[in-house]
Amino acid sequence: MNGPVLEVRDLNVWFDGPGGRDVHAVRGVSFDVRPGDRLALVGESGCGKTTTVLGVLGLLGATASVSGSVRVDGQEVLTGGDAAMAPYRWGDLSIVFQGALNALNPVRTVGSQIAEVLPRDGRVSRRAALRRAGELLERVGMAARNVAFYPHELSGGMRQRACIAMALAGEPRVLFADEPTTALDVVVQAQILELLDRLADELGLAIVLISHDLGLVGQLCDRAMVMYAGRAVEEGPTEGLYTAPRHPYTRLLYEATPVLGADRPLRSIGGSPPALDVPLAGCAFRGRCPDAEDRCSLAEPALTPVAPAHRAACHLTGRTP
Amino acid sequence: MSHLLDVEDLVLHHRVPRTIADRVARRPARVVRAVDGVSLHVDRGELVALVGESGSGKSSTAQSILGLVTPSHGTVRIDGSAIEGLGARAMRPWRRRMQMVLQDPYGSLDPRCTVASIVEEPLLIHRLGGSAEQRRAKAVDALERAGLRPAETFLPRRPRELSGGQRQRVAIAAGLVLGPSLLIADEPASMLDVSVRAGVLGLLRELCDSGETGILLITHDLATVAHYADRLAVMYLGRIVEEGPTRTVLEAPAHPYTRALMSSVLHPDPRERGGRVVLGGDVPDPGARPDGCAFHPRCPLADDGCHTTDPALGPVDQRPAGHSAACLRPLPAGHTTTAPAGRTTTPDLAGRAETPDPVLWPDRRNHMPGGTAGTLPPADPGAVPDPLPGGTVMP
Repeated sequence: MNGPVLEVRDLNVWFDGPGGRDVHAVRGVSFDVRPGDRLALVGESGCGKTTTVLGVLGLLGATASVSGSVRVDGQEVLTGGDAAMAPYRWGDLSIVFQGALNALNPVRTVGSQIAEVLPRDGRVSRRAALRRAGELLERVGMAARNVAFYPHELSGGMRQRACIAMALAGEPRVLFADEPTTALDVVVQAQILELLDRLADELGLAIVLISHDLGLVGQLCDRAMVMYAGRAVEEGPTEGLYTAPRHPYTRLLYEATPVLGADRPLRSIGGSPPALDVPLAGCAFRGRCPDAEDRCSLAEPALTPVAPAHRAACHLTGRTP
Repeated sequence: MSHLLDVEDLVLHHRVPRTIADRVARRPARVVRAVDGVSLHVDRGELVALVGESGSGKSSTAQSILGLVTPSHGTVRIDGSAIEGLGARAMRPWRRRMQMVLQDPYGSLDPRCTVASIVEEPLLIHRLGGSAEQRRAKAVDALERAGLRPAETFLPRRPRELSGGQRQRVAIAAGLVLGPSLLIADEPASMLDVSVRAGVLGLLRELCDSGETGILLITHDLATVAHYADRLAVMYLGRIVEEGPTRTVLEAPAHPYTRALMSSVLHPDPRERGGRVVLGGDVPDPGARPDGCAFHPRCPLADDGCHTTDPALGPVDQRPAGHSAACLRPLPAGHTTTAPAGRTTTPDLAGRAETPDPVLWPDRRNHMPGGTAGTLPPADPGAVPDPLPGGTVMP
């Protein structure tokens, strides 16, 4: 069968902090993306979801140091520096950035911004590039004549579609989508969900969704990795995570998510994720965990299998039952 | 017994200035009808949700009630006494009784102010504080009621030292410090992490349950409404199209728009895929309101009558009193639609169409026809209509 397009192993990201207090933002994250996969990275703000993806794509600035291994089609791209990653970025791997309302340049037309990222093999006329941009817009459900429009002339949902069209320009095999529906209202959210769903099916595109919206995750993705304080604390099929979450953090996230027609009170999770500029002793979630015991402050639990294709990092529920 | 807040026939029309081209072509000025005859009421201890898409006029309604914009006409009564005149000046004496919580706690708090000065400022503005000690005591009380305990530890802090949830609680405390009887909360949780949303909304619910405060909650998220609101009013293009007790409306929505909004709520259970009714396009330009029922261009059930007759909000057959809708072809009652995305079949139509049309209430890959031409008026510059999603596949 097909091997993974993307293999990420033991990814670590540090940011330079003031006074040498470096922030360890991503701590040993590993995942694979195979053709057609639909993976979600889930967690609160500040848990390292976006940093993980930017680290994989080599898009973090000079203040970040990244270690680990990132392979595209078996080819190591992380240790080779930017030159190794550059051929894949916006080619096989592309990204829809967070905040579609601000991601586009306001003083240039949508078409010229899409044309800018088209692959430059050979000489392409401006007219041909705009025609291609129009085709990409049609693929995301917009009329081709939108190429002549400026971002402010489009609604939020259309701007998000334009960003998705731009990400498709290099005919990617893996599309990272960072909070693609945040700041859009429910109806437009559902439209964007349908679009991503359709693109994944039609183009055989693998999707890596970054979101804290478990509704979106459940409807779009088959697998999810729940991140907390820069680590994966649980990963598995979305159905398994919903029906039988094994990490208390995953369970509490689902309990905080409103569901239409469910007669249960919503619960918020008290506290906030820990600061990552000091070394953590024990389980990072223990301060907010309703089930924490003494041993949770002694050692950080490792990801261990709890069910087929389902792993959790918790002293209490990570044991094989 | 009069309602805490009673809004009658509120109208907010914006006149769009004519451009030179309009003058040359002798086109009349366009009028954008942002709020187009809204009546609603909120009682003490009641949480009423105003629901709709972006552009439906729900925030304009809130701003008109508070006099932040001057409505064209309409009556706003607080405890039975009508506010004389409309607009900011007339509102001033009433403001301390009606406070607002804004959507963005990152933008709405002055980053240079301490929590203490943010929460005490309304007292200074309204000259209610008394001495500095009395003001401080009131601020502490408001912070504690907003769930920031112990309040003393928060007083000297600045917004950047607080999490998003804590910031929103500070904003709520600044609203509570005047002891208002009505709070208007405009998407108070949508900028916050899912993990803290329940806390902020639960706080609003507690304030209602204490009996003195009524809350008008503005949101697009029906799942949230289902958990917290006593009643809801669904807005579309400046008008209320359906209203009633939350449970009654969500169990048997009468208006297809309400049903579509419910269907847009995404269920976290992957087994609950399918059965979504995805509305195409956007809310039409309120400057070019469609004839007949304003929803008919996006409605899968619209027939000829809907193109010509504009339905009024009124009681619906087979629905309890208090549940009303503005629809000529209301959905039949008698089936449960509480799980929004959970039905792969189309029981919605079983009662009204002999053979449910698969194009109208489709499986998840199909869409309501609203995304096709006609959804957006051509006058709008952003109005290039989405063709039916499901369109072209690149070779």
